[in-house]
Amino acid sequence: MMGIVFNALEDFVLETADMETWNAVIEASDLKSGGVYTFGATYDDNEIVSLATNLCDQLGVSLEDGLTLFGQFLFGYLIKKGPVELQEYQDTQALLKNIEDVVHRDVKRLHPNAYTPFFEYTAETHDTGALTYNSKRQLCVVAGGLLQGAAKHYGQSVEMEHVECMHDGADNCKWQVSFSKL
Amino acid sequence: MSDAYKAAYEREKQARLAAEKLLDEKSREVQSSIDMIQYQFNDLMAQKKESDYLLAVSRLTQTDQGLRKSVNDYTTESMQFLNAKCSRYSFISNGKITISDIIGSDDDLPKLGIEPYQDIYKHHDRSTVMISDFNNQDLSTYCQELNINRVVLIPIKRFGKVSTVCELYLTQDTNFKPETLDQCQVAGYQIGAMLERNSNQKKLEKSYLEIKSSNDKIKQAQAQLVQSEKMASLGQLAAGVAHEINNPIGFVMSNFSTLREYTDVITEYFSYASQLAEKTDNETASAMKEMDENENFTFLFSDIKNIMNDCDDGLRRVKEIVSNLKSFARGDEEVTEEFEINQCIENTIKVVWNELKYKVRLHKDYDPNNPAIKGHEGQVGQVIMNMLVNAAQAMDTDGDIYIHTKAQNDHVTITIRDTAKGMPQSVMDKIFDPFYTTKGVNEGTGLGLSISHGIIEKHGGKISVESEEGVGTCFTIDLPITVAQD
Repeated sequence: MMGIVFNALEDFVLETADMETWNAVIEASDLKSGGVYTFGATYDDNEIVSLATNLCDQLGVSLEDGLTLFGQFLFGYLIKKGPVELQEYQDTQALLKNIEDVVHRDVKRLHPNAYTPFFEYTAETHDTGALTYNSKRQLCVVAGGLLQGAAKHYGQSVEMEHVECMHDGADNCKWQVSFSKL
Repeated sequence: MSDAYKAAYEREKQARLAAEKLLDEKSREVQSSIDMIQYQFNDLMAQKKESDYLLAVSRLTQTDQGLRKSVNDYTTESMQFLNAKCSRYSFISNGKITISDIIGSDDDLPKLGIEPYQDIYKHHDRSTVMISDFNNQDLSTYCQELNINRVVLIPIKRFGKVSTVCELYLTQDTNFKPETLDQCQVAGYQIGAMLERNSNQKKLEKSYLEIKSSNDKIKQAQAQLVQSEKMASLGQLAAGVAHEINNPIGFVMSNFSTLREYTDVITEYFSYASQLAEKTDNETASAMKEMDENENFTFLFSDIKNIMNDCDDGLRRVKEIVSNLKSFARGDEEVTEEFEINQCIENTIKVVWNELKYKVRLHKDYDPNNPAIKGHEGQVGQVIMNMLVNAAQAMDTDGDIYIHTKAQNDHVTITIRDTAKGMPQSVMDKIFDPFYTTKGVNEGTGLGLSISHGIIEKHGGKISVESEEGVGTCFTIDLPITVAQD
């Protein structure tokens, strides 16, 4: 997992809680990195799981809710610090269509060893479509949060139905999505 | 600072160190990428230069510019390819060396003797020689000024032998991969192969021309043979006829001369008889006077004289024609003799006059110095006859023929110009070819002018034709003369 995600999590904790909470979460998690994260470096995937689990414990929320919220926060963070100018897209559908060919490609250009999740959006009408997600990390909850964060960023509301899930043994996660302008 | 922020601060510090380390690594990666790109770029440029060079040489091998220009261009291209300061090339043949002017510099490089080149001309290998090894003070001084320290000598081989050596003068700063010189050498081989090919091509073309010319000569000889056979038969016939006529003409002329003498005697006697009849008065004298009045003997005797003169003239002409026939029949004799061209033309005109007299107005303008040539009078006459007969045949109704002879220096020019219908260029191009004719079947063999051409060439002369359709044709014959006579 890229350091940027850990930095985002830290900012998320500082924004929603405080420094003590983040310190406690680090303390509670058994981290090889010692909680020191650098933007462009790569860290063990288990660390984010461990941090997220301990964070949800500290905050007293379910892991799913916690990760969804983090996903929403993460989109805003990535858009500010990410490598690609994401502002140029008009809506979430446009972003989703370009996520593999433009966004992830740019990430790989700067960080050739980075592992990026796979997204594929198939439009059915202008406002509806199917989103497929696949990742070895199986963080579909974060992905869902990211999508919500994106919709919010582009001034849209999104309705999502998680029709297939890797946690249920499916090959990919799939959402039926429907956007509307706010 | 609270403990919480202290821990956070420590983490940030470490994160920054990690980030700096990361940056360092990335910088090194970027630098190494730049180095790699630079290396690849240089390599690419070198390859481009190389392919440009090979392309230029390959273009050179496609065109035939001659030995000197090809070698000059190859040397120039190689000089630019190796970044040489200047260059030149040398040819060796029959142990003598010819060195070109310098290429790429305004000054003239001191020329070397044959010695430094001998090795390369002998061993066929390219070599790099240090300037100091030449032991030539002039060359050393010159090269020192231009910072030149060595010269690459590239041989160009033709037919297995080095015929040319290119010299490429390099400065101390010039360097290149060893393969670069191999490429120059390979290009040199190509140039050599091209030169060989061109040389073979030229030889081939020359052989072809020789064969073609031999073939033409054979055709010509064949045609001449056919014609000489014909002329020989005709000559024999003419000689036979001439001989047969000669005898009766001989005694007719002899008798005629006696007859004239007798007539003179009779005329004289008759004059006395007439005077006697005037002075006498008897029956016989009266009858004689009466008869004189009726018949007018004065007129009769004067007419007899005229008739005798005409007959004599006619006989002389017959004799002359017979004599001309004989000279025509002698045409194929191997021995040559000196003869006057004007007389030869005159004799020929007499032979063919019968064919000309009704349609041709003949204009003659002979050189008064009577130029003489050495050869076969009969054959030259045959040529003139051909021209005259052809001219007459080319006239639809009537026309003029202008014959002109003029001696100049060592040759005489004979022009025979007519005002017949002329001919187009396409006909003129083939007019001397054997068996080429514009006449109908059985009218002409197409040999006349071909043989004429052969005869004039055999006499060391030249024959040419000019013609304009609707205006006329002019044949010009040049023959070497012996001595211009008065």
